[in-house]
Amino acid sequence: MNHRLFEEWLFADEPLEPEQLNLLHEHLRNCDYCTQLFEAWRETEGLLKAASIALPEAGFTNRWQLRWAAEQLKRQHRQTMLMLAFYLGGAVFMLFMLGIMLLPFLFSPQPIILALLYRLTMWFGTGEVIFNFSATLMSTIFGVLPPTLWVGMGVALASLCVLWIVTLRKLTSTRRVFA
Amino acid sequence: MQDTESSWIIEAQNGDDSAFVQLIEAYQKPVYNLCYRMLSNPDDAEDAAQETFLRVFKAIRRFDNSRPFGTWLLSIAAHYCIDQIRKRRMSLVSLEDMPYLELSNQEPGPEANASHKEDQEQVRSLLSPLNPIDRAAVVMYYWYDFSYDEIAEVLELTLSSVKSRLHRARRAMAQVWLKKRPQTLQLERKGHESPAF
Repeated sequence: MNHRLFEEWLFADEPLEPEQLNLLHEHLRNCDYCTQLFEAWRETEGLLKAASIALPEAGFTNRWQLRWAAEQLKRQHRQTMLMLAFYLGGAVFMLFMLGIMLLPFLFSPQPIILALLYRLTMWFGTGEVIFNFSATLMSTIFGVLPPTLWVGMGVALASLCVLWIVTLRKLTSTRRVFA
Repeated sequence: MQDTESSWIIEAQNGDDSAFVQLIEAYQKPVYNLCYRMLSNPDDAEDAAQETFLRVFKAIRRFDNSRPFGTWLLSIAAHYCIDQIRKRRMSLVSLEDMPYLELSNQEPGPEANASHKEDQEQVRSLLSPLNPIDRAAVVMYYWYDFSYDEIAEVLELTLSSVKSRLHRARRAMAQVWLKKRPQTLQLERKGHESPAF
C-alpha cells in the first residue's frame, strides 16, 4: 500500500477536497500506522498550540544596558590597542630606517670619526681666532680712552637700566593692563 | 502603538539609547521566546536574546522603516539561533545530551509547575530533532501565527520551501511522538511494506 500520498494529506495545512477526504478516511479505517501517525500529529499539534510563551527573567532591559556598556568599553579598549599598535609599528619602522642609515657606520666607522675630528678642530681654530681678535681690540680701546670716561659710561649705562626697569613695572601693573 | 513604535525606531536611529530601551521593553518577550524554543535552554536563550538586541541596535540605522520592525527583529534572532545550533553541532554536542533547565518564573504552585515542566520538556523533545531552519519555521508558525509568506521573508526562503519544511517538520514531530508513546500507540507493520511505513 502506498502511504506517501495519504501522509501528504495528513500533514498538509490546506483544506482537502471532499473526494480526497473520503479517500483519506477510507485509508485510515484500514491502515493502523497512518491512524497512529494521525493521532500522534493531533496530540503534537495540540501540545504546540497549548505551549505557553517563555518569559525572560525580570530585569532583562537592565542586563542589556549593562551588556551594551561593557560592549562599548571593549570597543574603546580595542580602539586604544589598535592605536597603540599603529604607533608602535611606526616607531619600529622608524628604528628600522635609522638602522639602515647607520648600517655603513657600523661596518666602517673610521671615515665618519675622522670627519667629526676634522669638524671639531675647525671649530676650535675658529674660536681661537675670535678670542685673539677680541683681546687685541679691548686692549687697544682701554689704551686710547681715559678712566673717568669709563666711569661716566658705566654710570650712564646703570641709569638707563634703572629707567628701563621702572618703565617696565609701570606699564605692566594690573591697573593699566585691565583698565 | 504603531506610531509610538515608529517614533521610537526613528529616535533610536538618531542614536537615542532610551528610545531603544523602549523597543526592548516591547519586544523582549517574543524575542526571548523564539530563542528559548530554538535553543531549549534558558541561559542560552537569554544570551541569544541579549545578543540579538545588541546586533539590532548596531544595525538599526540600516533598518528600512517601511518594513515591519518585529519581522526584522525576529529574523535577526532566528538567524543568530540557527548559527548557534550549527556551532553546537560542529562541536558535536547534541541537544538531547544537554542538561535541561526549567524556567523559574512561570507557574505558581508545585503541581502546576510540575505539569508545566513536563509540557516544556515534551515540546523540547519534539523540537530538538528538527534541523534549525525547520525548527525556526515551526516556532514562527505555531507561536507567532506567522503566515507562510512571513516565514519565507524572515528565513529568506521560497514559499514552497517553507511549505515543504513545515510538512517535513510535522511528520518528524509526529514520529517522535509515536516513539515516545509506544505503550499507547503500537505500530503494526506488514512484512511486504517499506520499513518507513
